[in-house]
Amino acid sequence: MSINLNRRSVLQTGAAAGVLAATGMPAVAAPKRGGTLRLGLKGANTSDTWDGRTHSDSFMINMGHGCVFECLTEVQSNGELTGELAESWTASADAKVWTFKLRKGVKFHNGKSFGADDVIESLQMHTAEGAKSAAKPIVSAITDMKKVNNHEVQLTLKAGNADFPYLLSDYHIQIYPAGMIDEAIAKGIGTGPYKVVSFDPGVRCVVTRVDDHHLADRGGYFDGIEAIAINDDAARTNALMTGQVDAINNIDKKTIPLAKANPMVSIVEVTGNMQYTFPMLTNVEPFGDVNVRKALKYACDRDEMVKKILQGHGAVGNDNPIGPANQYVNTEMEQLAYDPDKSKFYLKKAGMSSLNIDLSASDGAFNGAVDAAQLYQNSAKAAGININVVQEPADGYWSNVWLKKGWCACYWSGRATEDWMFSTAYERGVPWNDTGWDNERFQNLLLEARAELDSGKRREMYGEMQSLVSQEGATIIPMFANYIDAHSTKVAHSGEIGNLWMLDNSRICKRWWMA
Amino acid sequence: MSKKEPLIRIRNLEIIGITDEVKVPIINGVDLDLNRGEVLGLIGESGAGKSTLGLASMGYTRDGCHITGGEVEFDGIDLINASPAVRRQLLGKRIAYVAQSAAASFNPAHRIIRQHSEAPGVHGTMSRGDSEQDAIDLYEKLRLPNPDEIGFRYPHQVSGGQLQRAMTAMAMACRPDLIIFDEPTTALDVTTQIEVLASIREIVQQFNTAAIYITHDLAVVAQMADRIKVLLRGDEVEEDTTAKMLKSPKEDYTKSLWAVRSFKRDQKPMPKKGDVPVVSLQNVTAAYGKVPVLKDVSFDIHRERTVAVVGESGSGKSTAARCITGLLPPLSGQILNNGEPLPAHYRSRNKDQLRQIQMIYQMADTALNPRMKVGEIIGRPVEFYLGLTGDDKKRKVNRLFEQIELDPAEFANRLPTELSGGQKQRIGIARALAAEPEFIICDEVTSALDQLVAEGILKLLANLQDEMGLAYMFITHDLSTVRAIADEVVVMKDGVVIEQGPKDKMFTPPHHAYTDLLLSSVPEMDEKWLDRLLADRGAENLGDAAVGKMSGN
Amino acid sequence: MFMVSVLIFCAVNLLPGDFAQAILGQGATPEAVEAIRRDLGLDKPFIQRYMGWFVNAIQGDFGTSFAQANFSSYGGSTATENFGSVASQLAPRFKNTIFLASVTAAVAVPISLFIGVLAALYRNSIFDRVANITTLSSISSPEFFLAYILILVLAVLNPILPSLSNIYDGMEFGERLQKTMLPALTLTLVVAAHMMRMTRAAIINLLASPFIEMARLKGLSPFRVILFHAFPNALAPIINVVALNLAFLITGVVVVEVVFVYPGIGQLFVDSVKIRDIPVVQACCLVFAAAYILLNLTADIMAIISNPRLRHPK
Repeated sequence: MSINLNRRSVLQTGAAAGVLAATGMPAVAAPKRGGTLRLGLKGANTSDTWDGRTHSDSFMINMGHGCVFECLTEVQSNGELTGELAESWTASADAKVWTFKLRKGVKFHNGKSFGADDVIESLQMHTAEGAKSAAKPIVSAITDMKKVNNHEVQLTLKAGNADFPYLLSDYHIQIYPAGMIDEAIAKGIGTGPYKVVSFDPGVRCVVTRVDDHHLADRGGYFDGIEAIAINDDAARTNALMTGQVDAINNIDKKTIPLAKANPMVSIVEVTGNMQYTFPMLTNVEPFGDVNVRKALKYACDRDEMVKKILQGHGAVGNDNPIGPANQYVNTEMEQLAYDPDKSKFYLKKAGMSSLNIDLSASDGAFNGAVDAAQLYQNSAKAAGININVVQEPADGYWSNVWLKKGWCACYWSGRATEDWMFSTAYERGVPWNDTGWDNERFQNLLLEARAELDSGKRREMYGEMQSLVSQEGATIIPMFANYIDAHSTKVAHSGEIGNLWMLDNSRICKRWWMA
Repeated sequence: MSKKEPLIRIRNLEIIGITDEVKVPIINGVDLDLNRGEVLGLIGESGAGKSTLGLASMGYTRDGCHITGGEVEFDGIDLINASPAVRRQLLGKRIAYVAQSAAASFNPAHRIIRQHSEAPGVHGTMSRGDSEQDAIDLYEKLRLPNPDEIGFRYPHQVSGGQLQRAMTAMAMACRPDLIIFDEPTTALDVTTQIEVLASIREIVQQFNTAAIYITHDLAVVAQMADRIKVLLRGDEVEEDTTAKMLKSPKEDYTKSLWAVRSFKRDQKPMPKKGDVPVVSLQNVTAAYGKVPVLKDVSFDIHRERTVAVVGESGSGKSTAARCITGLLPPLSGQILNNGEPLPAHYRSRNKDQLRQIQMIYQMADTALNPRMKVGEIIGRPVEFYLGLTGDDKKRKVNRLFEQIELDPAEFANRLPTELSGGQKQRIGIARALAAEPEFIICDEVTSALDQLVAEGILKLLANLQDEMGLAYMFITHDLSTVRAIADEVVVMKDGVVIEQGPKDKMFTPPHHAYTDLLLSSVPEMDEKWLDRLLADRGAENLGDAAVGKMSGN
Repeated sequence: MFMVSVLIFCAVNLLPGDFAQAILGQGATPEAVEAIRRDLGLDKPFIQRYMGWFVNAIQGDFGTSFAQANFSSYGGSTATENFGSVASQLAPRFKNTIFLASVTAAVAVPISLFIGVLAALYRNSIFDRVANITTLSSISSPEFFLAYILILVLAVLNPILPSLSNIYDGMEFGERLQKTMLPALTLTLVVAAHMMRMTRAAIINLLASPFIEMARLKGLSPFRVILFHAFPNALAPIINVVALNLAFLITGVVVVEVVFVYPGIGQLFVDSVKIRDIPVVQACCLVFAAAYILLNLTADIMAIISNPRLRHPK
């Protein structure tokens, strides 16, 4: 049996893609070509390169995939998965063998034709000896890469994974020209709708449109793009307000009212998978006791945190790491609410009348983590839980506190698929399982769902896993932070904004146009 | 000259000074007339208002001074109410100024001749080129060495006496009607002073320039002025022609000024052979770094005797004092105290050796800690050297106050800033006495004081010597002080003792040529003195020139 | 300079945290940290690292940036030659900083000297007071505040100048100048006060000198007195303070560069400190120290040249 997952109209219902809180949105008009987009981006470093394996900050994520380079697949603004360099794909019944048909007539910026060899060599980059790619876990799951013909590759996985095409949309896995990868990394030679004119790492990148691009009907509307590195929040906002750039990512929450007052500026706000968490190590007492964990869950005033820490720019979490950008997010679970009585009840069930615990936090964990911890301390008092907030230094927080202290503050930017998220931080024994949580049922469901291609069954299984994590898991996830970007009214978009990453899944270059 | 109208006419001038919002009267209604070609001497002690009056006659007041009444007219022009522009038209062009310190009054950043030609250029009396040529002529007239070249030097490259003449030349640059000389020779050594005096007088006569000559030195003004006006604390005491003023001053104050010069103490008999001197310098040679300043200097100072060490600046007299106190260890030779050799460095001397030798300084101001009360300043050495505390200390301090003729009840709690110059110097003496020394070095102790005050200090020192048997080493460049107080005289030049002996011998010929020059260069209270001297020696054989010839021997 | 290098090395290496932890962030598993440390030689003893760095540095080789070395090792052994040395990373940034410093100096020095002279001339007048209050308030406000005020006035309310100073190679000089203007003006406000006040103070200090009185008594105009007689003698302290401020323009521009997104050495420095990229931080520090020492040396030499006593010995 083979299922074509190219059209996932059914599957996307769960994904709250394109949830917009945009203001001043122009009526959706047809895209048109022309103009130069000037981007002011946070997240640029002097060490930036065109090597997709190193991409981790938003400047390169924006300028890499979907701009200069392309991946095999692409998640659309509405959450739909489409092919980018792949035309279509099929899977074996156990979701182990995947065959990708590649687009024909695609050319790299240096004129080289794109083909199966490029895919195979680009994938192998991530598993090369000594390579430290963040996408290594994805690619190392492939046991065999076979070139069927010049426009078809067959990838065999260690174990079945229904999400595999989804994973290939990851921004690390860009396609480079085979045999000249070093040169392509040095110069930025990809198949994307824009080619590099100049690139000054940590400062500026200028690209210009490629004529006759193979996906010209689906994007690449600007004549050219100038991306400017503006790491300073105020400077970035200023640049937008004074019209020196057309769009910026990550506008400072405090300046949002100011930006809204400017008729030339629109705010784009989507809730994605970015979540702020408080993981407890279950092998540290008293967190091994599920009743203690439940007591803590009910002792947290999530609404207040969203209001005060995120200033309302976010959503209440349900101790469920699966967010609105995921396909199978379970929205039918009962929302955990602040309830001191319930908290006391579970505490009593754990055999305690009161509880004294340390909560380590630092603004290095997430912005406002210390304040959030203090809010938690406050709300927990009513339940007889005394939280002692320990301020940790931001330096070395991830080495010395996270995974080491019993209870601490943490953040996750989320993952595009349920399986990826769960297998990164919730699967038994994985290094980043920051709670050490180990649940037999959850573990079985995880393996089962991974190879299941039937979306109805997957929805069911992932739904159950989410409620398991939510009810019994050891992570408090009080809130999901919005991606908030801003742009001038000179640029326009379809009205639907991707929520995987900031700036329309970081594909603004490809998808937006000059109004 | 033909005009009857005086060049300067000042009527009832009143000037006050404002410091820290306290008004102090400086000039209280003084009149002054000066005719063309006439030289008026302004004389008085410090604080008499001579400089202020001199500057006021240029229509200028220093910061903090204000003209509150009266009139100043220059050639019929009202200088007080004239606009700054009008005043600037006169200054430099028709009225010029020669300051006390030429070294400080020449701009260090520009060549001398450049500054000379500035006023003529600005006032348009001469082009720069002409003015520079004129400067060279003037330098020649003023007998400056190398007149063609000296103007192209920077001020620091020229000696004080030469600078003072260059400044006189600069004042002459626009051929003004009037020049104000503000103590032009006070900062100079006597031999240099005479040269400058001669030059100034000559050129003023030659160009028939009117001048106001300000000084505190009567003998100097006697040589320069046609008339003399005596000021005391902003009031005119009297005014008359120089000859009358010198012979028959009317006012008591003037008489007392004249009398200062008469203080003289008889010379004590020479010590007997075999008496051990309190301090003895034996073949002392010393240097600052590699520059030798003392060469093989020997002299003795006996109990109850005053040895005056005289010489011009740079002669090594202060260096000798530094060697005695151990501040500058000599390269060779030794210093004996009552026959016992003293360690060369003061740090190796014991408390008793330190106690024996005390020092009084020229600048009493800077030698006293401004934040300590006078009683404490004197009490410190009492405690340190004599080990007295409590009531014993207090009694000793009170006794010291009596010795310096000040009332302890009134003065013990004052700060040094609340004292006059003479009082400060007395405190300096008391501090030295506190150690109960047998030997005191007095380094130019009266140079900064007015003559009447200086005389008081000298008398006090003389009394103390008689009372306590002190030995003094008196460093001075002022020969009248030497005449007044010394028993023995040591004449130094370029780090070498030129001549030494009892005072009477030293002041009676024959002298060593340099001593002779030194002595003859001291102005005398006789308006004909300079004329006579010039006639005796010739204008080419004065001051630096004469000294230079001597060194050439 | 040697002492400075030791100090820099110690100070930089005493920073808490290290590159491996900083770059890995949440992903800092002990194994990954170890791997990166091993790759970068961070596991070697302190003295050995210093000697290695120092020996190379005096040969003009500041080494390879940790970040770049680390990223190049992502690709295994390949691609190392594509990554420049610290020097090549530093050079263009340094050029930009020098450009900004030059523009600022060209604006600030003449203006502040001129205002200083005028303030000395019309001291205690309205002009003097206004100049004093303005410069004092500008010197006592933090730089970013001045920067934002200027942005508000010159970029937002009256869009004359761009608030973004993203200059790049190959930009027209005119455009480059225009883009540099706002940061230059901000820095001018910061440094001008110091220079202007020093000029004023140095001149006023001299006004009580006898030679100034003499100049006045020659009937010279007040302006000439100050310009021709006071100013040349005030040069030494003025040159000193100018040099100090020029050094500040190179070493102290971090905040302004960040606010205006000016790609200078200060921003590179901040970025590198953030990720503990020690070779870059050290090289920046050395450049700062060298600029400081060099400018002060120049100031001393200039002061000697400006002093006739030292120029023309007796």
